[in-house]
Amino acid sequence: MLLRCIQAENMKFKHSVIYLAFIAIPIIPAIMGTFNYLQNLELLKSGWYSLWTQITLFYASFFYAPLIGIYCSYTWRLEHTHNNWNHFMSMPVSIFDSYLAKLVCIMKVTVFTQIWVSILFFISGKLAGLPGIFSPEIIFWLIRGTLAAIAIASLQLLLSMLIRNFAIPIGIALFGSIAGMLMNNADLGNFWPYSLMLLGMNSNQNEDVLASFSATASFFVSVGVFFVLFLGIAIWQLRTRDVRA
Amino acid sequence: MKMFTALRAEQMKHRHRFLLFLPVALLFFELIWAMWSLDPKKPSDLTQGYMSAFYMLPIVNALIYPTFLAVLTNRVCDMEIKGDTLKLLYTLEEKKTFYNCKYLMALKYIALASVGTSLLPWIAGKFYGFTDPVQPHMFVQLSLATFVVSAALLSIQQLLSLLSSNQILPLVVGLAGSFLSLFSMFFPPAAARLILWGYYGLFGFIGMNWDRATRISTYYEVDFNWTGLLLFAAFSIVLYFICRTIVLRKEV
Amino acid sequence: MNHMITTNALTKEYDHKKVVNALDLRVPEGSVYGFLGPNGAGKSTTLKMLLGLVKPTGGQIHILGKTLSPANRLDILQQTGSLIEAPAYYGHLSGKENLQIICKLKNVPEKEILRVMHLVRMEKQMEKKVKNYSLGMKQRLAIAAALLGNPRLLLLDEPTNGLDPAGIQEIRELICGLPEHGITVLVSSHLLSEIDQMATDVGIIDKGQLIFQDSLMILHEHSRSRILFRTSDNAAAFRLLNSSGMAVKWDNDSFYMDNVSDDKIMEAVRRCVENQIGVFRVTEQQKSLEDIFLSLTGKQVSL
Repeated sequence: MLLRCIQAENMKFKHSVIYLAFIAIPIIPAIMGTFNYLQNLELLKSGWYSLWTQITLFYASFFYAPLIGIYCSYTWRLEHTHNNWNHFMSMPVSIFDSYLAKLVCIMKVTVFTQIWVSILFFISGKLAGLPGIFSPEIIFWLIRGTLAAIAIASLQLLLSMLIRNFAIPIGIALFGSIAGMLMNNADLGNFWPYSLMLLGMNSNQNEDVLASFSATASFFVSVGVFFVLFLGIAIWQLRTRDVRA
Repeated sequence: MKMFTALRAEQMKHRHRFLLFLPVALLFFELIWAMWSLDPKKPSDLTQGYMSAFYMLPIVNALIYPTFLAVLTNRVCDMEIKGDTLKLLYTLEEKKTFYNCKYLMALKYIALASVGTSLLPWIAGKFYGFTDPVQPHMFVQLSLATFVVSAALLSIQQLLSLLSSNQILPLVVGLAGSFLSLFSMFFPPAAARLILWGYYGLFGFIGMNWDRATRISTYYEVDFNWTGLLLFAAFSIVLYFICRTIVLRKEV
Repeated sequence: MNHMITTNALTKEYDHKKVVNALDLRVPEGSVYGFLGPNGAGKSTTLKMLLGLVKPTGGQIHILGKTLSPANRLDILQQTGSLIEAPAYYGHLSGKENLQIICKLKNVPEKEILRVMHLVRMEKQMEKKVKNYSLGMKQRLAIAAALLGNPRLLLLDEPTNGLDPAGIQEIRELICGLPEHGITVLVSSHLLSEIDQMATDVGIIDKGQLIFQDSLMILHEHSRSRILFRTSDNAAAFRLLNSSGMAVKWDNDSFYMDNVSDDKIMEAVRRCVENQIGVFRVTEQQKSLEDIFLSLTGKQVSL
């Protein structure tokens, strides 16, 4: 049943240009990060690691959340308009599956965006004349970042479902992300969902911030707790609230 | 008179929507940021507190304002797209009036936000007890620069918001604008001038020297680019008319 | 008789105001049940409760032989088609693509699309984007969507909204023909004449309360007929019949009798003819459904 829901979700995205945003926006930090890296070679001496921070710092700390927020707002806008809530809720599929289908779709987009960012990272590195390929550690960071991203995405999906306005959840995402940077600086990153991606991607320094076991464990616990929490709230809301078209 | 009636009607559309919440949230957020980053850690921070505040705020603005504008415009314009009201409204008022009202509506909140933003250094200064002199012209310069740049960007956002039936494009552009303006600060000035969103930073009037050996930043005031601001304001007006013409040409 | 839908004391309150008040619906299987009431009477809320879209404040719903609960809601929805409030659609997709999504969710083969689109005469508009549809076309698309997957129960909320007269006629015929295929239809409307032309059973709701529920025939019995006379001399005939003790009433140049047996009519005609008064017409006039509504609620309702 979940599979059918996912296929139906995919059909709704026909003729929409949303994928362009995910292709276009990460190019900006890639170009600018590389540019900045080349300008400051005397300061940035760690090769691939330095380039990694230059390219992913702003992406992970400020821009992923609003970007996925746009996707989430769009997918719910389809249901918020033209009476589709009635339809969405009177289909013979379980509420959990309907919601999970949307979540799976944003996970898919997240994974593709992360892969795209890593491709851009690789190309940028080659253009900047870095030798060989980046270390596998960075791939691990990417995967960690993706998991954190999914926790953020589940929050955005919940926000866009509850707030029937396209832009407000995106604004919240940007503010949340900036606050996330402050929280990370205050070492409270694990308690704030928007901070997690920066931690996971390890975008602000060359040494792994999550080197110790306790740091890694609390990061993954935090990702898991936030994900389950936001998913749970969404399902609970869908089950108990009356449908307004 | 007709314009006045239309504005009243526009005002009525926004009842119960708490538009004021947006600039308030923005200011609250910038305040927190300012308090956090201006928290004096050494005596030298106090003696150039206001300078560092006026150095920092254009950077914060560059990051937050483009997305804020996208959200604000979406809030103001999307109700017409969602409710399919354009075909009704165009029978009730001039298309031009409609566009002007929407613009003025958003501009009001931008003015509020711009003035509010420029007052943040003062609040932080009173709170932490900065010791350098308060210079009134800096407040004027910061609020004017913020207002004029935002007014130009508003034209673009409103154009996109009214033309985009699914609202993806205006938000993507707003977000990309935040990105670009942030990055344009690392650009050589000639390149940065090509990026409309980068002007929040370009109209900054405080420079900074960072001494790597002593790890001390010293701030110094540079002449405010009044000619640039005037030219930019003229450009904003032209942009306004270009965007309006494009929207008016679209049939409903 | 089997009932497709039964509700017991179904109630919905919003802010302590009873929008639907102790409703006991009985929708017979194989019927076209007309759910009638003025705007804001609680029709849509009731339909939404039947689908589980809105949670009742009180009462139970039995539908398709089961008590509606979160556990069997999906089974019920699988056999139900619905159109609530207004057509639901994704404007950026074509009509066909919209239906493909529903096919996917209902697990119905896509060849069904052609069948239902044919039923609502929309085969030629399938490839067009729905945002370019006219209101009537959107309405037809929504009805087609409700028909996907051969549901046993169809809930249609004002299905003829926005249709032209020919369209209304087509949809009416379509609905009337559905019970032959084993489909029970609950159709809501604020137009009495419309329900009169397609329903077999009627429920009338006003201010959240069910004020009448029975077959259409019974409703018509409420509308006792009136026999109207046209003669060569109406005034003389009226005086004649009145003096011979028959219950005739004068109205606007002619006279009528209410709720009389055939014998009485025969007698009246005979008396007229015997007294050299020519009888042109004896016509039976039905009370309008507005009049019935008036007599049921005791007050004027604008419909």
